[in-house]
Amino acid sequence: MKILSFTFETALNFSEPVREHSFVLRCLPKNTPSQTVMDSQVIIAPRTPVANQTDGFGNRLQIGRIEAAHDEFSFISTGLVVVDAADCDGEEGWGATEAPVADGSSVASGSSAAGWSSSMSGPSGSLAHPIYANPSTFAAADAAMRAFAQEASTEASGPWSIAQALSHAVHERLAYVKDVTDVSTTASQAFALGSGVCQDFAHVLIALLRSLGIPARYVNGLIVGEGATHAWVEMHDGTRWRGIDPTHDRPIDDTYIVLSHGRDFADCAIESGVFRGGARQDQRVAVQVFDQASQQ
Amino acid sequence: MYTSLVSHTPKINQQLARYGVKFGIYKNGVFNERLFPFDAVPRIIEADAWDELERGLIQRVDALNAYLKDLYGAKQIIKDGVVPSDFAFASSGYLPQCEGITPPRGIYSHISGIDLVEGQNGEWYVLEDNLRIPSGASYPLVARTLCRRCDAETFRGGPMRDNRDYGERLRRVMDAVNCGGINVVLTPGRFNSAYFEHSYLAEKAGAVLAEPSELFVENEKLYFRDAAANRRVGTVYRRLSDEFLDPLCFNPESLIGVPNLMSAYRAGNVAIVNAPGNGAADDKGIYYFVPKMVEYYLGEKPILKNAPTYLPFYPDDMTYVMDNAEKLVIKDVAEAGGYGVVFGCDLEPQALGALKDSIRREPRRFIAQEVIDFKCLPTYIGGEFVPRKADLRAFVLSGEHTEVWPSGLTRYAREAGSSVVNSSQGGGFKDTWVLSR
Repeated sequence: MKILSFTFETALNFSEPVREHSFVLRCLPKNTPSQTVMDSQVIIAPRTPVANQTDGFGNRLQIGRIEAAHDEFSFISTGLVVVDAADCDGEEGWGATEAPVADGSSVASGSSAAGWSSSMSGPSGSLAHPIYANPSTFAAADAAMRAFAQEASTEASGPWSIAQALSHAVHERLAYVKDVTDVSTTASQAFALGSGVCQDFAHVLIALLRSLGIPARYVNGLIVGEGATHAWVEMHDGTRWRGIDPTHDRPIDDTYIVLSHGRDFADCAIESGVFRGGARQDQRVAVQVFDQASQQ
Repeated sequence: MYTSLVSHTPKINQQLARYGVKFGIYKNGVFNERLFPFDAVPRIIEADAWDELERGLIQRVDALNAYLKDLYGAKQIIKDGVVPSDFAFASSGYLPQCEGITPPRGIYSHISGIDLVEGQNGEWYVLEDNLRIPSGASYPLVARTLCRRCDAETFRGGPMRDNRDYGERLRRVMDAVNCGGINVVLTPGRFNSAYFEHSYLAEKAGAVLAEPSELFVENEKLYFRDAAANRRVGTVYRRLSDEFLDPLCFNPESLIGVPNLMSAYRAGNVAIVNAPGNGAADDKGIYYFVPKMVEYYLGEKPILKNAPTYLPFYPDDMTYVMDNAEKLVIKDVAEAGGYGVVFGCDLEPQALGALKDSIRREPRRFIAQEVIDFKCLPTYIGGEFVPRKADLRAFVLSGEHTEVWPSGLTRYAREAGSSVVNSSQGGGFKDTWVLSR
């Protein structure tokens, strides 16, 4: 178990002013069986009222609109999260709603499954929602990937062991190269290219897992020691979701903070917006995650 | 009853063309608009037959609404094994973004278009449920108005029920789910092929016709940008499909959506008519389960029949389909519209064998149905009355309660003997007279 504090800052600069800017952010961590949010808040500039909602995947949303012209948009989220990757016994069946997090402020930590309202409790309560077993827009396997998944998993037995074997295979197969892919790159494109960033590693692993009938989902988040946001994978082993990071080829541990999840990147973007004005934009991101214990 | 009316056919068609009563089709990747030919010989439904049909339609739509509420909420019907999760969630119309949202009054399908045919035995069979903004109500509505104008005598004191209150009914539905504010009909714009219907229905329902750029969402509320002030919108009857509705929730490439419309909907500040995500209840695979939904949710025996349908997913059905493929119609669940529909009798033995192999390989992807031999209606073509196959789209409205518009869109096949009534195949439409006595 670790107590992690984080600061996550994003600034968008527009080449010329934009207006009527509607946005949706998923920049605050949510409660999961292995993660309890003690405190979290976001500051958005230009200042504007922000609505806090939860989407169909259980992600926290920060929603707003800036009518007036502006050439910079930024948000800074900060908070404190208790992470215990080993404690994943909390039930999180499909149709479950995540334990609510009070608007931008602290929540009672609550113990284990007490705070979990699962509408899928009962025998099937621990099953993954069937949508995570189906291919999705960015995480669908082609014939080459299906064959690759078969071959890479021959030695492995059981979903978790298969996931580790596939994660290793993806790590070997893909080179981490920036700017060769973008947000519209699919798993099969990245696989064919043989390179990409964490988003591509995650999409490829998800597609491979699904091709073998193992439910898998995309995770956006923050990790200790990395200056940008990160993406990894959760696979369902039949009883619970377990995180695995193909970019670093390791199971997730207590240095990972989950912000959002979905079938693939398209379901759970950290920042998305629509505005008027034909501006180009560039983006600066800064992330710092500290282990509180090691600070002392 | 309609003899004098038939002589006015050319005049009525001219008027329809003037109004811009058209439909658009895609053929070989090219978009075309066509006039929708009107045949003045109406479909006539006797009062008793209508009563039965009406009860069946209300029952069916109530069950479909209950299913949608359950599917995006408690999922009890899946837990109880009545609808397998393979079918419930594999549907492309199922939108996980809508999980956990309960629409105003719990109504998902406010305007349902149920497509039926009348078998040779006089029984009605449902072929398809359309719960995603079904179109077409304006055709019989405007045709009736023109018929009355051309031939007032036929309608004066005639036994047919007046159908001109559709706009009033639509308004009652919008009012019933309104979350505070005006009613709006959202159209993609004047270049949309159904723009006539959008503007006509807005006018008849007393709603504001809005284009996407005239709407915006702020503080979880939807507003209409008026020259004088911004007006809160309580109900939006949107005539654009789910994927284009909100670029920040669904397709980010959509230029015709309203950013963050879903945030106003999630907060319970606007009713979206029909609710997003309804495609999960009207696809070909789910159709099989609708009679079971009637029993499950309402505890009643289904009044309306489905065409006899088989799911190769179930072993008994698989055996039947393998033995009888040549006399069945096979439908690919993943394909939309008229695509992926194959009549076994049209296939060469080799092609039929290949299809059977696909069914064995991917049983969940297919449904098979008995071919329904449905009734012809007299149709006035080339100066004589000839029989043509015809279907009926009934419009069921759910607001304060569920009711059926005593009319509907009857479509007929252009060619003798053909069962293809789709407007895209050159068919036409008729008025539907429901008799009051």
